Amino acid sequence: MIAEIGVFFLILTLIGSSFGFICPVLKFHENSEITQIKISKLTFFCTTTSFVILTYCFIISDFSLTVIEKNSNSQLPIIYKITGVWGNHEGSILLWLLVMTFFGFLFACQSKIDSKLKEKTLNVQNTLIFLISLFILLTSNPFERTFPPAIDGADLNPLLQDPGLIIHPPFLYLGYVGSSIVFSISIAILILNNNSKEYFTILKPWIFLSWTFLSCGIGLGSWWAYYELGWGGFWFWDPVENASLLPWLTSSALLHTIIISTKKKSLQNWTLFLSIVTFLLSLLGTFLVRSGVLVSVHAFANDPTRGVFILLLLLAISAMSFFLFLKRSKKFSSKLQINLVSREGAISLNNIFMFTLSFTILLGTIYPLFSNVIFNNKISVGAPFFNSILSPLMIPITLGMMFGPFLKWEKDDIGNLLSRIKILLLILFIVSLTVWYLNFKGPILSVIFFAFSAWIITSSIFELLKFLSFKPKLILRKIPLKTFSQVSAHIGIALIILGATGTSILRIEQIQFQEVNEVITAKNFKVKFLGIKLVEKENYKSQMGFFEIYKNNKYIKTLTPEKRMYNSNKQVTTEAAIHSTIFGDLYIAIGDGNALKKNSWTTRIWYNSFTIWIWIGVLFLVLGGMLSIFRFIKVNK
Amino acid sequence: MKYFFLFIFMSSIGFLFYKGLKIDPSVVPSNLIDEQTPSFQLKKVGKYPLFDSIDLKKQEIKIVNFFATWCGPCKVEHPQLMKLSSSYKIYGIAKKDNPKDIIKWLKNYGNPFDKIGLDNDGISSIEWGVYGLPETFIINKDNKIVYKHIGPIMKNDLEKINAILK
Repeated sequence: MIAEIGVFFLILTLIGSSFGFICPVLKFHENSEITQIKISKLTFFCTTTSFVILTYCFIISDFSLTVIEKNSNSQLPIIYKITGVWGNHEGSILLWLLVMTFFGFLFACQSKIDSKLKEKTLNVQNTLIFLISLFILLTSNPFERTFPPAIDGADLNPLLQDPGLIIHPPFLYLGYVGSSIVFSISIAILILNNNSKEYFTILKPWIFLSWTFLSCGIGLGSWWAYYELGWGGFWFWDPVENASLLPWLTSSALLHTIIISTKKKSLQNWTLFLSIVTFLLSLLGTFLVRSGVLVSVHAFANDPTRGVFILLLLLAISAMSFFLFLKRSKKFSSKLQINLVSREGAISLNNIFMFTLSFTILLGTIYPLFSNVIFNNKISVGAPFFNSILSPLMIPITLGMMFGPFLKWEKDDIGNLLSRIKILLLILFIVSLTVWYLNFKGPILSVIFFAFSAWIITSSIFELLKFLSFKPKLILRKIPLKTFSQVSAHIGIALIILGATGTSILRIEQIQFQEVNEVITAKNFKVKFLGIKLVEKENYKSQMGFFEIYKNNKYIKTLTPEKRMYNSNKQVTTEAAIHSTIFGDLYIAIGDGNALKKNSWTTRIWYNSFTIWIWIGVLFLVLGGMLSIFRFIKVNK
Repeated sequence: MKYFFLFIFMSSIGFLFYKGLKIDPSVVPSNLIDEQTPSFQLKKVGKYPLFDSIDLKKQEIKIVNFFATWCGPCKVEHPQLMKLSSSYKIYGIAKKDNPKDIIKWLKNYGNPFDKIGLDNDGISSIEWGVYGLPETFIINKDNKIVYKHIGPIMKNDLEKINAILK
């Protein structure tokens, strides 16, 4: 019965949100801003209720619901019963809807927004909510019953039974779907045909909000893949990973252009275009994942009708928004010339490179599909392609991050700039030599990328030093929050470059049959294999390997990688064991026993340099985003 | 004009994605399908008759199975091979294996193979495009490969295999 109430609330969301676009068309209500606000609050309430009901059904293991029967199990620990709600297609699309209504609700609650813009934005947002709830009710109803009810469920995919997966999808969705409100505001601005700076200022915090969530979501996903998949890497250029990276790249570009749009009234059309594209890329990502058109590690149960529906949705929304954009963009194009040697110039150049990067990654991601359809030729595009386009594009992006913040707005002079930062240039030279000295024997690419990372960090810190004045005595002037947030985000990127370079270029990998008591050396660690022990847990059995780690002949700790076999569906997962230090991770995963020799096992031992800095970098990025949001809240008070 | 381009762009993207929906991206067809079997040279295993290229030129339908005694899934597949061997000729190629282990394996689990050979260096397996074990090929009367099965033949695969063999 309770599940039917869940469906009822979903239907209420559908009907409620339909008023979102019916009202303005039929001119039902005089004060339509208030109507839209009410609709937003209603749809948020209904979707939340529906989501809570589904969660409740998961907790009580109501196996009469198809989705619970397929994705949960009575033996599952309670926390994974709850996260199982979004560990499947139906539940995760409901989470999509919940986040979408949440952003509508949040926007509706803002008091300092121009009423016309607010009405139109909620109009668009409610229309999107209508389309998604229609999609759920027609093709992906999480409350569908199965008959006769199953005695027990098939279990949640063991890979998803992991702490990282508890928060990765919600954060990713907050970022992904958060871009819907940015899209809605941009479409509203286009509909109102008003290029006032005030409108663009309203757009700004929402971009930062969704970007921060997206950074956090991608970071968590990458962290999960690193320790759960047992492949020793953190990024695999899988189509689904790319699908999340694309909106992140365009929204990073957007973060920069919006500054110009609010300050100078120029690049407004580009800002609107990026806002639209960011949301469309999120939708495209969803289409690629849920329709099964590409091979990916993120396998969801695929259903062609769903694929067709999302495709229609994607096409309709893209066609309408691009049509509107083409029709109105003239009003938002500025006649102001942008000087190449200026802050605007640096941001514009950076935008061109970021957009090129996202477009090329997009092309690489969907090319296998096109090649299959057009040439009937099966190909796969993998890491070598993506790495080869990423590396050269990192050069201008790095230079932009280093020197951009030192350029003056409107017009600057290279000679002037150089004299202003001559001390920095000297420091950068010393830093480069130090990096080269420290990594003298390393591959040339690692020297280059480590130098990039060090350059960005140095120039970012140098930027903060501007606020120190030495005369007449040493005083630290108050550093504006926006400088702090920018410096933090740039240092974040630098640390990610450091970690990614270390992990991919300097990796040491050893795969072997390791006998009990045999010692393998990886970098300056010695790894002694003690043996395998069988461990039984609530819902799985595990073969746990014991490895003693020594550094300079001193015992450090015992690592216990596992191979788990889950009771309900006999699926096997690898749990890597990692010893993290600031210089690198010792990463151990175990495989099968050697059939020909007793007491000998396949062991995979990696030494990944500087991996931990990737996650610290993500923290800096998120901190940067949070500081910006905090600033907007403070300004708006 | 710009609207026209938008229309063309959107419809071609839509068309491509729609077509893409109907293709299963995880299916990778073998390049050898409908081709003549590649040549190969194997080593003899104990007293068992040696499998040779000439055997595939016979005017009959035959099955070629790549396996190894160190491969777990091959063990799972074995009973199904035994069943198939009652109606068809199966030739076995043991990849990177030890002749003693093969003899023990065939004695323990039964011998489904008409003839057998050892691919010690793995070169024949490369010729046949074998990248995992077990893999099974069905070859028609004209010595052309008509089907390739990757992974163990399970009980529920037998129906499909039998249909192809007929």
